[in-house]
Amino acid sequence: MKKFDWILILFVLGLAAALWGGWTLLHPASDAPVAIVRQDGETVERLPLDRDARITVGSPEGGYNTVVVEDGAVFVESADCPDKICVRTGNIREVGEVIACLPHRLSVTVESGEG
Amino acid sequence: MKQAFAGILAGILLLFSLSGCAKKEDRRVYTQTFFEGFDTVSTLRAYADSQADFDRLADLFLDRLAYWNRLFDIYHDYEGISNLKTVNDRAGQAVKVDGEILSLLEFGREIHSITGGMTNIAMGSVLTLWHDCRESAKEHPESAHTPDPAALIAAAEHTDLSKMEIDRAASTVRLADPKMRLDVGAIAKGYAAGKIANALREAGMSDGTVNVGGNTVTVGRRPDGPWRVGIQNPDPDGDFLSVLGLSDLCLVTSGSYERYFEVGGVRYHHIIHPDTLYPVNLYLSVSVLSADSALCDGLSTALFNMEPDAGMALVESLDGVEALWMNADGSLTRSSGFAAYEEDSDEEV
Repeated sequence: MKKFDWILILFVLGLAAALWGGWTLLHPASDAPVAIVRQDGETVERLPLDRDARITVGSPEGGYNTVVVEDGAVFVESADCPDKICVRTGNIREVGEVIACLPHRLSVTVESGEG
Repeated sequence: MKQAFAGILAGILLLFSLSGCAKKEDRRVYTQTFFEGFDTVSTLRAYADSQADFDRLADLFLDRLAYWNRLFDIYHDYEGISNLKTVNDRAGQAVKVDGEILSLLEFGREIHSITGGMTNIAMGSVLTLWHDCRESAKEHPESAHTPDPAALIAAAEHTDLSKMEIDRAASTVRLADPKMRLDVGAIAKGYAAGKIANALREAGMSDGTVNVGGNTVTVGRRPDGPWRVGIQNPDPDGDFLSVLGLSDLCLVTSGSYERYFEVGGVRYHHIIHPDTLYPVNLYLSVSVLSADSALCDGLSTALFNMEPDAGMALVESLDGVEALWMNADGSLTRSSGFAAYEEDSDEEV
């Protein structure tokens, strides 16, 4: 084979590798589930369960819920709704589990981490 | 140059095939939670090929949820339709209603018969007294009180389901006892959940779960196996009571740990015994499994008020029905076929 052929082969392989590397960097696969926090149907936060976090979500009428991620689970630490069922639900960590606060129309759903 | 050309072509093909490998499966599971309807939280989980496809299903879910909620609501009037509140408000008169309401009421008769009267949709006059005490306890916890016993006994005189007259030809229902009131809280959510799941199936959902306030209907399965449905532990720090593998089956859980009020440190929950007229505390949670969502719902109410032996006998006598009781001491009791549906609770739901 001629020298030009080798240069071409290397160039094409290099380009392919660069594209694959770029794609992987832009779409990192994460095994950790993610807690999706929605207020009135709109996503307000995405909290990966492998990173501790604390956020407070306000509802339009002035109420609040404090959502905490700790040790791979997510829970509502405090809220000013009358029954506090969201707080009393405790922590969730499995894909598919949901904590909901009906008066504040807030939901916290654990989803799979890929994509 | 022919070789070079072939080389470039091969390279381009290689590039395309690599980016093809990186592309992900489009079909995945989506979840949405709804707060409108039956004074509770509802959730749709379904496999769809795109967000747009899922949104179509979610819109239909919400539409159906609102539809059944309007018809079965005993607390609100809705412009232009006669619903169960209308029937109650005009007790004594025949009220023309949508045939779907009559179907629910006929199911009410069926469940009354199956449970020996333990689930009775004609208990509205008694349940209203408890509902009012619960609502006022929310506003004024310091003056929380239980209903006046004399009022309860008087109300219980008007809970005879045989006084509910249905005329299918005229599409009317009449409460012959003007002091009687219907309350379908024991069956409405399970009934609606089943109807909503059917509507979604017809609209093309092949695999999904519908949950209306603790009434879960599973349709199809996941790629890895049946839907995994966990039974919530009344203790927030505890694990699921059980995780079940369900495909085209329903699970309804009734519990005493969310809808209640306290008087002098004593809890009074929302499931009222038809004879004692008070809540019963034999169990913290009762779950019923079968292919019929409305049946599960109606049974869970009855079982909550039945002694263990009587409840077990009822479940065992019904084909295709299984149940799990969490007793007041925290122990679990299962019907004979329940364990066959249980899965390892360590894996993801």
